[in-house]
Amino acid sequence: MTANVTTLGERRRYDDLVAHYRNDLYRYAFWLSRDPDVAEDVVQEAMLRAWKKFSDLRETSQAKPWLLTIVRRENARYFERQRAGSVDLDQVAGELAVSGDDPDIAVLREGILRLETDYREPLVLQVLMGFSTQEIADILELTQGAVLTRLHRARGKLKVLLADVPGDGTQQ
Amino acid sequence: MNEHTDNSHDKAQDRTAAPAHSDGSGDPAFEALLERALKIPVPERRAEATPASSPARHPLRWLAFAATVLVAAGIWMSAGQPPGMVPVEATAGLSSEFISHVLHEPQALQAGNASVNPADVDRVFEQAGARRTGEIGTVTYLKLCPFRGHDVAHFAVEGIAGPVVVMLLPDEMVSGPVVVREEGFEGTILPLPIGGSMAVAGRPGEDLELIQARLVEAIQWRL
Repeated sequence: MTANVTTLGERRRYDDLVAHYRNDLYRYAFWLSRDPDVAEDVVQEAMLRAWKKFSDLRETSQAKPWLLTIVRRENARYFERQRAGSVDLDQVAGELAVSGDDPDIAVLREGILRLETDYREPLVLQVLMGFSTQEIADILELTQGAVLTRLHRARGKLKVLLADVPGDGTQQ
Repeated sequence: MNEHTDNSHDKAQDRTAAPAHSDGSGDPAFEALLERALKIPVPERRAEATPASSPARHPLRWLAFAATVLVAAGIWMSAGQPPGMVPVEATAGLSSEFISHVLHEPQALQAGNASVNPADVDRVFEQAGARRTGEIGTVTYLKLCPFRGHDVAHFAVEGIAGPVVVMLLPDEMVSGPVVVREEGFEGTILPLPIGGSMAVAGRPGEDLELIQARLVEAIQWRL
């Protein structure tokens, strides 16, 4: 009778987990979709899905990659369902620039937005989500060497952009 | 190089292990900038909301979810208790601890207690992981109590035969309604479809079904 009933203790554990990772998940969804509205929808759907499958999560230590995978799949589903058209990157970059007062940050954000997904995603996974290159390789189903190459190229592209910013001294 | 074989989950180690930085992460200033750039502002409601607690962009979906929970709760109540009653022996520990706790706070059982301020009720419920969404009757006793490792709401409402004691037990799961009949109390520990349970007990002759139904309708867990 109660096989499908979870305790509030589980809900609290879930709430704590989601509260802990929500910002990262939103940012990950944003950099995947490059659309703030889509990112919100994706995270919302992903969290609902995560709750429904919460009993599958055996170890809290695995929560982060578990949640992230759900967001990643939900993003793919979203674009499959919506047959989404191209994102207006100029508009998104403009909206981001409003909130960032550092010109280097604005340049980098626009640069990241315009990176190919193959480069953008491993970069986000490493820098933002804190995954090792091996973990990224597992998540993206690539070899670690391929991940390293993509990360290197992603950074290279962004550094070129920064080099064009007058007076910038962060690039090598 | 280390990065090609390193299975460490530590980001810092991963990004600094190889002198050559095959992933291009050898410039700390650039890395700091990159991290700042990726950390875009998160919309306020996103930072605060959880999918189980906020309708966010899909209010109808969450209304439907809430309705499902309420309907399920209603089914529990309308189905009647006897067919699903769990033998007392099966959960004697919980039932006995409930009554022991009740007896340990005799002030809850005093008739004529002043009614508790509704704002205090809401505050204690919140601390106990619950929410009052409707009328629960006149509360004459209220306390946040430690019970089996959790802080739970222990309160009393006015009944026809005196105070009826209630404990909200979001972390206690019972497989069916449990009869409580100890120390001169009669009551039930009701499992709730959304998880957890609610223990209700009063003196013989009390209309517990009415009070239970009212409470089930008026109390939700903080999802």
